[in-house]
Amino acid sequence: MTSSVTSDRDYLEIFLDDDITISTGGSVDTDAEFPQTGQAGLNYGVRSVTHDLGLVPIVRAFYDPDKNGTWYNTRKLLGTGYQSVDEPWLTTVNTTTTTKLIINSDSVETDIPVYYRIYRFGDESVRTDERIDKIFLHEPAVAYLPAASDSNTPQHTVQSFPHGQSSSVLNTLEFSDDNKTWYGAGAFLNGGFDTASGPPGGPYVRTFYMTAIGYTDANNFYIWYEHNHPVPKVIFARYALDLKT
Amino acid sequence: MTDYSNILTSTDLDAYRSDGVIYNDSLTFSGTLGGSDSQVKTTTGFTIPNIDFYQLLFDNSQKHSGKWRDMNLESRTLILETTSSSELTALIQSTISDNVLTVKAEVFNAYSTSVTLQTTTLNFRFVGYDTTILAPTGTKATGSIGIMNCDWVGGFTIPAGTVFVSLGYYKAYVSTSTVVVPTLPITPPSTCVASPFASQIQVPVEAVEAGSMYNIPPDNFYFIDSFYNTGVRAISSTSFTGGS
Repeated sequence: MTSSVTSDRDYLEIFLDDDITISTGGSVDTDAEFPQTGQAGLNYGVRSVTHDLGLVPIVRAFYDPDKNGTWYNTRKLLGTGYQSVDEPWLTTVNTTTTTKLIINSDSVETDIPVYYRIYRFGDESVRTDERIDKIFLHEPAVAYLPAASDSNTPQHTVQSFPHGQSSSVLNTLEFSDDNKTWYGAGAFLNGGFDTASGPPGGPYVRTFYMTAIGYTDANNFYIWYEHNHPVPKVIFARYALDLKT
Repeated sequence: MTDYSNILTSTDLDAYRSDGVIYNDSLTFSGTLGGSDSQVKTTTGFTIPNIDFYQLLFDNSQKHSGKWRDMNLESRTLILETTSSSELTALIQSTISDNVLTVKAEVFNAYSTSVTLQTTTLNFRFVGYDTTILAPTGTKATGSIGIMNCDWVGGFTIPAGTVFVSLGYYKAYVSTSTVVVPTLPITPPSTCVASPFASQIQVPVEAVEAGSMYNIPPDNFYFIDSFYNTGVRAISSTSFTGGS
C-alpha cells in the first residue's frame, strides 16, 4: 500500500547526494586519528562535504569496500571469528556545517566507491525541484541459526531477496531478538560475558552477541545474520529498500 | 481550463519522513573503575511516537566534541584512564522497546588494578523517521503447531507469546495461549518422530505480521524460541490460513 505525498508532508528531503571515490594513504586527518576514533587504522582517506545546514543532518552513507558492486552501510562482517569485520571501514563525522566521510584501510587502496545522501527536514511547501527517497519495499524477515560451538566461532547465515531493480538500491535494516525490541544494523547486541573466555573471575575477552547487516548488489538485497551464543538463536529483521537514483 | 487551485499534490512516492524533532541525552563517566570491572550507564530513554527507523549519532566530549558519529558505522569510543594514561574501550548500544529508546554505554577495565577515568561525557542525538509505506493492514495467518515431548525427564510449560519459526519456510509465528506439555507417557524411541506420538499437544499460533506469505503448508520442523531442547520437536500438520 502506498501513501500520497501532500503539501503538508514532513518527509526527509534529500539535500545533497553524490557518488564519489575515496583513496586511502593520504595525510592523516585529525578527526580520523586515534584516539579520536575508537578504531585505530593504518591508512586513511577523507572527503569533506560542506552542507551549511546549521544543524547536524541525517546522513546515510554507503560504500563498496571490495569494488565489486556490493554496497554496505555498516562494517562488513566476516564471520570468521569473534565480531570479525572486514576493512576498509567507513565512518561519518557530522557537524552543523560539514559531513566528513572517512575510509580506514589496512593497506593503501585507490578509488573506493562511496555514495552519500544528506537530508534536511522537510518543512516547506512542495517544490518541483525537491527530491525525496523512493522506497519500494518494506518487509520483515527472520532467520534461525544453530548454536555456536564456542564464542570465537560465530554462526552466520545469509538470506537473499531479489529486489527486481535494474540498478543499485539502498537499504535500511534493523534486527531484533524478540520481534519487539529493534537494534540498528551492525550493532553487536551484548548477551553477557562468556566466562569461559578468561580466567575464573575474569577478565573475559569475549561476550555473547548477535548482529545483522544488510547489503545490496545489482540483483539482490542480502541480510547477514550472526551470533556466537551456545544455543540456537532466532534473529528477526525488518528492512526498507529505496532507489539510489 | 484547468482549475489548479483544486488539485492536491499527490504522487505515488514513498519516502522517509520525520517530525523533525531532535532528541538529546548524555552519559558521563568519571571516578574509579575497579580492576577487571566495567562501568555501565544507561540514558533515561527517549519516548518516540511511531518509531520505524532512526539515526543515532554520538559525540565524545574529550575526543570529538561537536563532531557526531553514526552509531551504525561505529559502536565504540575511547575513554582515557589517567592512572597509566591508556585508552579504555567503551561499547555503545541502543535499544528500542515499544516506543522508548535507551542508549547504554559500558567501559571496560582490562587491567587487574583500579584506574581513574578522565571525566568524559558521551552525548547522543537521536532522530526517528519512518516510511510512508504503511504497515500491512490485512489479517494474520493462524493455525496450530503440535509439540511432542520426546524427552522423558518431565513436562514443561510453553507460555503464550512464544515464537515459533518454520525452518522450512523461515516464517515466524507467536503462540496465543499457554500450554502444558506433559511428561512422555511411554519409553521414547531413539529419535523424536511424529509417529506414534498422536497425542501431541496443539498450540494455537498466529503469524507475527499480516500477509498472505504466512499461509504456509505443513512443516515438519519448527524452532521454539527461548526453549531449546533437543528432546522437543514441533510440527504443523495442516496449512496456515487466513493471512492476507
